[in-house]
Amino acid sequence: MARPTVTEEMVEQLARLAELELDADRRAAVAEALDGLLGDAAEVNRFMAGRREVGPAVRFDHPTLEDDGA
Amino acid sequence: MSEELAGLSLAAAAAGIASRELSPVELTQAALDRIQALDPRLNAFITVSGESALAAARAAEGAIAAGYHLGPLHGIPLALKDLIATRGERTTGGSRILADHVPDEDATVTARLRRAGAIFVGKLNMHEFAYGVTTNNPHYGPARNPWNLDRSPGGSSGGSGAAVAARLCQGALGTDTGCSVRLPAAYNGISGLRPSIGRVSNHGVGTLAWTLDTVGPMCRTAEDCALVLGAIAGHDARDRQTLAAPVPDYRDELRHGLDGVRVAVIEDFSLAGLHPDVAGCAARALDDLRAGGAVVREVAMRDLEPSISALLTIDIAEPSAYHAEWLRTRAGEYGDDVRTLLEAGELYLATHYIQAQRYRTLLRDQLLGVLRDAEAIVTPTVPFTAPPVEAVEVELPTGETLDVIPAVMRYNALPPLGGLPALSLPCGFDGEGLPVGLQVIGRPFDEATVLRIGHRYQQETDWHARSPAL
Repeated sequence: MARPTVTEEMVEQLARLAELELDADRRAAVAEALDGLLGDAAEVNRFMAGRREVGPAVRFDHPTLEDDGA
Repeated sequence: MSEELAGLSLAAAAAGIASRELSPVELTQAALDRIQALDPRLNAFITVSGESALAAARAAEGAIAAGYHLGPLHGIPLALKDLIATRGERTTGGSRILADHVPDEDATVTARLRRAGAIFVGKLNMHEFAYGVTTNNPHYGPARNPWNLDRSPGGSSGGSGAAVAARLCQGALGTDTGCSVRLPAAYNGISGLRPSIGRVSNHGVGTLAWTLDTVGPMCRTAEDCALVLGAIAGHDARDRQTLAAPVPDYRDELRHGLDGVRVAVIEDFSLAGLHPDVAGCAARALDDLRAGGAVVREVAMRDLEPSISALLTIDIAEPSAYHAEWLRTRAGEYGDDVRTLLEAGELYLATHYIQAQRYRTLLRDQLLGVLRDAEAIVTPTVPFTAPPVEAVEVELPTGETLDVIPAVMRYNALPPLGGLPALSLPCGFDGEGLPVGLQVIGRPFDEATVLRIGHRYQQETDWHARSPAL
């Protein structure tokens, strides 16, 4: 399915879901920016599709006794 | 005399202070004089701390005269990007939102530099909240490139790059999330190190993106960067990402030569798609490394194309999470470019972010694979030289016009995604007299080898010694 161009109306709906107020000027600016940015994100999505064996490069850091001041 | 003192590298000034031939007060005064004379044109500083700097310099001079020499940074004028907290001195993050913010404690890096005896001459201009690559700051004015005042110093640590290049201080700290130490280092013809994630504490440093942020030295030479890194590196209980491991003596490591050091050049990538002048400088730099004893060989890497998009996706989503409250309460106080990115980042899907973090795993594995058989990977830092101050797009050598943010990320994206250290070094000039940067990427936590390669290169070349006519 081809990704549609991001419109101000789409931005308005998404912003409401995110509980973010955007006036008409902001919606226009964000729609233009988001259209390009989501194109970038879609490139990564397509590339990673099917590579199910790979996990994200995020790790959790565990406190040590030293960190806790022991 | 004042200009002569300001022209000293950090290492040269440190040697002069250690031998008591050079006065920290005179050195600091020389820096302040030069800031006063030149900064109105460069706008590298948001705050200049003349009185406190001179008081600290007098204290350093007294301590050294009494036999208490703390080491190579004692009495050395440095400046900090205004994202790094300084106790009792405002720290704006380059923003209007934090215009009156005065921290009540130092960042860990600030405290460590103070303990090493450094003198802070001021806080440096930057892209607002470190969220951009130009330092075209709407609140404090644009910083300018000392090699050509109509050109950008890059960002987000643009003030740091401009100040060091213009000899306004002996060194500076910047921060690097996607490129923000190395890009201004390249544009301004200085040396700048992005350390491995976890090598230097981020405590007290404004966040842009938690999984990418680092603090690094920006100085005239790789040796100077080694001296500053030695003071700021190491475990910090207040930043749990920092590695609990000993910090090498980076300066001592510089004395080893390059014989047998293996340097990888990525086939169809490291030297492809560049401005011809940048390609020429990079090719000559590789010849110089070979002449110094390094073994340079081409390696194949695949799947690099999504790296820019992956970096931007992470670097869009994480800042929006950090700024969520201010975006709902103080949105009108952001500059337009930063506000738009923050608002756009609110509208990403969670899966966009996760896929980008998953791509990092693939890329890191591949980079580590190359670095099993090589000590470093070399690329240019940027495919072109500094664009005009107000440029939001650049024309690539292919003729394609691209937004300046993805355009500067072609090589810059690899180290942050991999969590790897990378040094940008000056390696020549383009036909317009603008500096060209070379990037040396190393193994995780092996800043020592990256700095050694830079130092040995700078022993055989003089690009780092050239300074702009101002």
